[in-house]
Amino acid sequence: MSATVPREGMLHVEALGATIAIELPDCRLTAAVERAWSACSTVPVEKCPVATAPELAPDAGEDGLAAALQSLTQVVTRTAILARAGELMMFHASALSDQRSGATIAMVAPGGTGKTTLVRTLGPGRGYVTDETVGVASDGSISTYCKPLSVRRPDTGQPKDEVAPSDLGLLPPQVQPWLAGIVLLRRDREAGETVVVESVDVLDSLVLLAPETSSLASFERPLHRLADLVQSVGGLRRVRYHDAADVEPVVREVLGRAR
Amino acid sequence: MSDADEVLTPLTILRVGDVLDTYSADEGTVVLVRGTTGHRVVRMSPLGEAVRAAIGPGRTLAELEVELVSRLGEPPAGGLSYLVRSAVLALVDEGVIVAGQGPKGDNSGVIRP
Repeated sequence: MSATVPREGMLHVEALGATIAIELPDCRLTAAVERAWSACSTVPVEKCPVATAPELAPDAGEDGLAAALQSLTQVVTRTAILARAGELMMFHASALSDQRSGATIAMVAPGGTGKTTLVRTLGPGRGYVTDETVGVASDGSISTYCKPLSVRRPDTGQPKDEVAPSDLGLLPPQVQPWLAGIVLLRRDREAGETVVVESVDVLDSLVLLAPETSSLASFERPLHRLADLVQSVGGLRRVRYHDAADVEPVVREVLGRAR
Repeated sequence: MSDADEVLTPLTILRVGDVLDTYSADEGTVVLVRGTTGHRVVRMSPLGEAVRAAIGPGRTLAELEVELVSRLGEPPAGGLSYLVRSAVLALVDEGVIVAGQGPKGDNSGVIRP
């Protein structure tokens, strides 16, 4: 794919190493989308996959705009995952990196269980890799997805607000991220209870991680590929916690690893 | 009682399901199964793994019992039929094996309960 001239109503973003063209049929979305996706903005390329933003109702208000932005994020994510299927091992996870070494922790968890909160809490001063999907190549390098963070509203929770990382004090990685560790998050501790870190054997790792992957079956011998990746970072650990701040020692330890 | 439980007779044909990959370690074996609502990874019990291996290209439940006895011997506490049936039902529920009444040579994947 070669670079091309930007055109009105289109924004190009880098997601999981793929360039995605965001088509904006409604100009009322343009400013908000450009701001929210500023950390992923990239130069246009020809024949890249297109993600089209939803159209707004004529009388759409703030909630309508937020819902459209949230929907667009989901479309871009799906488009990027499809573009990299069979190339990257992709996890439903948030990730932070060390800004000097690139060492990265992938924190795997189902939706709505604290991935974004962890990144917001522990991310300042580190590289914001993603709060949604981590894509790992066969050599352990990670393709970033510095998407807007989907922040739950304190009152109703919905629609979530799509917030630019910079608005939350988060910066993209300054050096190439690589996978240094992978943990499975379980927010099942009570307030005041200490964080629990448990080693998971390789077979249970496969059972637990597979549902949190995308396009796993696109690989040849997918279980072997996943097992190799898990073992290359010293195995999977399950982190049971209550407050995001409690996970800090785990993040610090993994980001301190050398390649 | 599951659907499989209702149709499982000694003459029911058992075949390995749509298993995409198998991974074994010292601790055991897991398989990746293609399901109607996505893929899943199933950790196999020792008996489940023996059942899967013994089914080969396809066996009836009755044949499977005979094959397992030849491979593993009679269970010390007896109850072979119950143990095998339980293992088969669990594996059918997980999609690791499929159960139907078709002829053993029919590998079309079409199950006729």
